[in-house]
Amino acid sequence: MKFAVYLVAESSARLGSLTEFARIPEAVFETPLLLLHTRGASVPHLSYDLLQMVSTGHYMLQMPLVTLVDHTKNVKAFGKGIAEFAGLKIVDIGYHEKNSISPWTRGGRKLIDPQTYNISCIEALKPDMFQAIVDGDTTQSSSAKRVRKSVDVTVKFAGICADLKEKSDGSLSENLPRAFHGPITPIVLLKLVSKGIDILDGTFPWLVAERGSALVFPNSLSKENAPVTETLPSVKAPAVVATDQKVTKLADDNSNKEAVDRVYEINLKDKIYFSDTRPLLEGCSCYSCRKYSRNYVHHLTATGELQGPILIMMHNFHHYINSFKSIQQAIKDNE
Amino acid sequence: MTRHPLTFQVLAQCKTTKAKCSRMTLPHHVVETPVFMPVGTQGSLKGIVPEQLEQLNCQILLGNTYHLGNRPGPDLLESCGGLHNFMGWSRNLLTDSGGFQMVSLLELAEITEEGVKFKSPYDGSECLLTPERSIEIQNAIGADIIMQLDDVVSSTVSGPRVEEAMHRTTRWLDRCLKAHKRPEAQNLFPIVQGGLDPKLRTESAKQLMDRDVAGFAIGGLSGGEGKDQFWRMVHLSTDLLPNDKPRYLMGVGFATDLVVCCALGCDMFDCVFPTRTARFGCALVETGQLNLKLKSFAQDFRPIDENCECSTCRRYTRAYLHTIATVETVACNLITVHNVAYQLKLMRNIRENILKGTFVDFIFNFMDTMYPKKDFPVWATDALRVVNIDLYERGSMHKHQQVDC
Repeated sequence: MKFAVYLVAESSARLGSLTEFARIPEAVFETPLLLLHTRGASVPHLSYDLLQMVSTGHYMLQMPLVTLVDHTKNVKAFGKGIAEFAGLKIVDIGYHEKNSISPWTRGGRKLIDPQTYNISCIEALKPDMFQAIVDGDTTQSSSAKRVRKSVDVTVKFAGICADLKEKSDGSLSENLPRAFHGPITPIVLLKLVSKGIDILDGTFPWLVAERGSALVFPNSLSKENAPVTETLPSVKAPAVVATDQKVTKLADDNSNKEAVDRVYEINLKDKIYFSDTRPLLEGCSCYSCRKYSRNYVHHLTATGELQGPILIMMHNFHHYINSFKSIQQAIKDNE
Repeated sequence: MTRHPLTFQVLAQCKTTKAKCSRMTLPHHVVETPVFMPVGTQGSLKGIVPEQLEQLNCQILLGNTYHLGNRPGPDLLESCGGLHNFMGWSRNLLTDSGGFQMVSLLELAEITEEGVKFKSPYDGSECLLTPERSIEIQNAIGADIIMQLDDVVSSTVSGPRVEEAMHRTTRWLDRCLKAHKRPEAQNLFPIVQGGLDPKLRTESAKQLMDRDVAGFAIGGLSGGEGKDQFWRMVHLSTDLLPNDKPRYLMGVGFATDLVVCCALGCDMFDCVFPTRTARFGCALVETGQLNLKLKSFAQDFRPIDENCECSTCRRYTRAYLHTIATVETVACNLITVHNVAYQLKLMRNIRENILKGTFVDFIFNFMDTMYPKKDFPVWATDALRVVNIDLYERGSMHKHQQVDC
């Protein structure tokens, strides 16, 4: 796999591309790149057909090991890697990450060390990119000692994983892309990109969908697309803030002004949408917004119908993917 | 005689059994019968989008008046221009009356001449569902076919209650017909009752046939009755009801039941079974069901059915579905798509064979595949015998020539 940066903006945001993947040599992924979150190797709520309705083209999928580790034996028997096993062949590529050395799975706690990770997991699942396992078990309130230890352990694991990989198939890429994990709100997303992060994970749209909410933040630079002006109910900002736990070092003063006005989402469970005939987001061209109104999606979430999360996920991913396209364009135009 | 928004044209009649293949036109779309109608209870087929149903060539869906009447309620639906618009489905819809759910879901449902009295499950207040109210809600929902409110009695009940219900059903039909405000856009079907009593059932059918309606439903037969009585009542009902109007057998959806009841002369069916069993991780196949949660599928890299052309079978393996069945909601979508495809394909095969005059051979093949040990259910064997099919001595009763219509 090759990573090349071809433009660096004033802010240190970078435009680049990932190419020459062994499994799909003709694929090109532009960075900053959004990884679509998956669980059990599928995008939550969206089968392949529904994913195609969100947008066609190549996706890079992020596959947390914790949702797959119970099944690596079966994928190994399959022999063709996790992408094909999950019905995602041809257009999709997998990327693995793990954020703890002993993930909790449905079957209980499992111990994964670098050897096991590499041999049983990576070789069975055959991702196109994978991340060395890390000790990510820290939060804002962890002690300095814990944080230091986690960094040491992580570096050690990374070294072991790299060695094992080299032994199995040769060299690592020289020009390395930078990846950041964790659900990221739109403000954090912009900050990370402007610091030069290339790969970001797409858990945020999913988490928002899980609470029955649709993303409505402005995601393009068009002057007509003014910030949301309708009177939205007061959004419980703490739910959004809770996902910022990994951002301690990146927080800066500018965030205060936005925190008060920041409204990323509308919660379709709210009764005010009972007879609202507008689409989830005016002007959005996704399947859900073109075909349905808020009142229908409200009905689905109120009655617990599975189609509710499906429509919301389709919208949220579409919206988030478009925000990445806008970001790439903005870097190109130096805005 | 009113002009109903429904036409029913018989294309082919099986010369051996009572099966027939027909073409029904309704306001939103054509329907080829015999037809199986998937159930989209609350305004959506659990976990799949309408486009997927269109791809499977589903022509008609069922919605439940009881649920929709509560949420989102008739006023909102009316303001949206009906359920078709609300749920984004441009083909046909059929709604039931709400009576069945009421009796089966609610603890204190009391039936009086006025209607069904019950305690609202939302706020405990006393509510009354009358024939007039049921039709009012169904008018707002806007389905192409709507059902009368009938006095539903469990098929395990016997005695005078059954006769009372049968007569009341006719009186309620008349009230429904009178209350129906959109006869030019929606077809109201009566429901034949009478429990398991041939005399009562005959009487019910006769009374209902006196009214000017576009089709008939056969009710009261998908409860706890034994299959032996079940088929006899179906057979009796289809003998009585006219052949040139659709006959809708309510609540039937198991493959064997569908095949036999087509042979007995039914044209329309509905059942929650295929979609419900999908949510539990079970996929329908020609030999029955596959419980994909079983460990035996962990390394089974075949699709659910190698001969199935649905999007699930073209792309996903049993092994992968095993990993996500009942764990991830994607599994629900994938298996539901397959199960609906299975049901619709079964009906398509039935229709094509009736058209070609090979329905009898189809039945033999179907039964052999479903019961490889030749342990055919007794009731099915008996039922097929009265329509000139003997599963054990093939060719002996099948005397009629195949003649094109």
